[in-house]
Amino acid sequence: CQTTKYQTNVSVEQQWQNHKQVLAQINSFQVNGSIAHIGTKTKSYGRFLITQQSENYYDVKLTTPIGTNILTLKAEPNYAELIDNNDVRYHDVNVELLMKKISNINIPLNSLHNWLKGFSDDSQADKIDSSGRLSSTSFMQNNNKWSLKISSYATYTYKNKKIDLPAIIELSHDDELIRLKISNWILR
Amino acid sequence: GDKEVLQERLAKIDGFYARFSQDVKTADKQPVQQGKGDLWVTRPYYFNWTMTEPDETSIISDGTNMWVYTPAVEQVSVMSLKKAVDNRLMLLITDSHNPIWNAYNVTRKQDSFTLKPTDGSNQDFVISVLPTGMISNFTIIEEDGQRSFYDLSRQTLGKVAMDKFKFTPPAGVTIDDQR
Repeated sequence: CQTTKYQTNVSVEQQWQNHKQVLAQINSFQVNGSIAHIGTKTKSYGRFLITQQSENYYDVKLTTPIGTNILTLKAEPNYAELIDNNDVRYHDVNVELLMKKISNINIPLNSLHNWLKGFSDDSQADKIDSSGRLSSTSFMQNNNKWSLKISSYATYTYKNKKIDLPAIIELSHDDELIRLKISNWILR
Repeated sequence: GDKEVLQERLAKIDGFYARFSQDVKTADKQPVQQGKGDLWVTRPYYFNWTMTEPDETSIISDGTNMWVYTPAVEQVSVMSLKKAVDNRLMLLITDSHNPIWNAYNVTRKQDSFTLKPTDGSNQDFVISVLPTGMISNFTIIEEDGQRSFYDLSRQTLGKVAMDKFKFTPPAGVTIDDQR
């Protein structure tokens, strides 16, 4: 019985390592869906389109359900621009600060490229599901400890290999909750 | 003029139901979001625009107030219909005598009517209306060229029952009262 148990663990652990290897290659993509932010004082909802060219170059577009602009955020290393729905432009070196300042929502954008695709490399905090995918973890953002839960995955094809990517992501810290419901991934 | 032709056409029908598909694209044709839902209108004051996919969201006018209900965050925002700033297209489509019409110039090409604001607000609208008054589609165009296109189908014409336009916030839903 010990060996069988050992074998199943290895295969889950091995699946997780293989999963991470494929995820590590996925750095250019578009993903859209809906985002809900539930804070102590405010609750907000919108639809998002995230376009990531590479780890440090991405755009986040937020729109209302009827399709009108809320904001567009462009991030590059050490430079971020936010355009609001009146086409007013704001700039900052720190993308997280800029987003918080304008939209009053604190999102851990600096590690977006990891948690969005369900990638993590913290063996202490990472919890893996039976299919070798990340089900939950936690990470630090400045002095905020975020916990991440991925409660649903969907299967896509990348370089004719099957890869599971998150369909529902929940990020929370203290009493702030961000829930992303992903409609579609487009992998490049 | 073209505005009067549009208003006359819209006023020919006292109400309708339609299924809509929504397709939002950036100026350079990048897909932003897609959705599906239902639209009920009883002129001149009542509409119920309910998106069903990917999430449920409703914008309902009960004749006095506009309710924006978002179950995903268990919240409804309510504002007085007269002061409603956003969702102007719904007001235009529903009430061809609404004073908001004064804030638009209308130019026509066959059955396609383009409404450009003269009050500095930042959205153009395009409404395609047949001579019978039936709306086939409408589009919201933003300053950056993003287009939110709504194609209407499976239409039934005629007034809709009033209970479609009544909204009572479910228990536990946060009410963001902007009146």
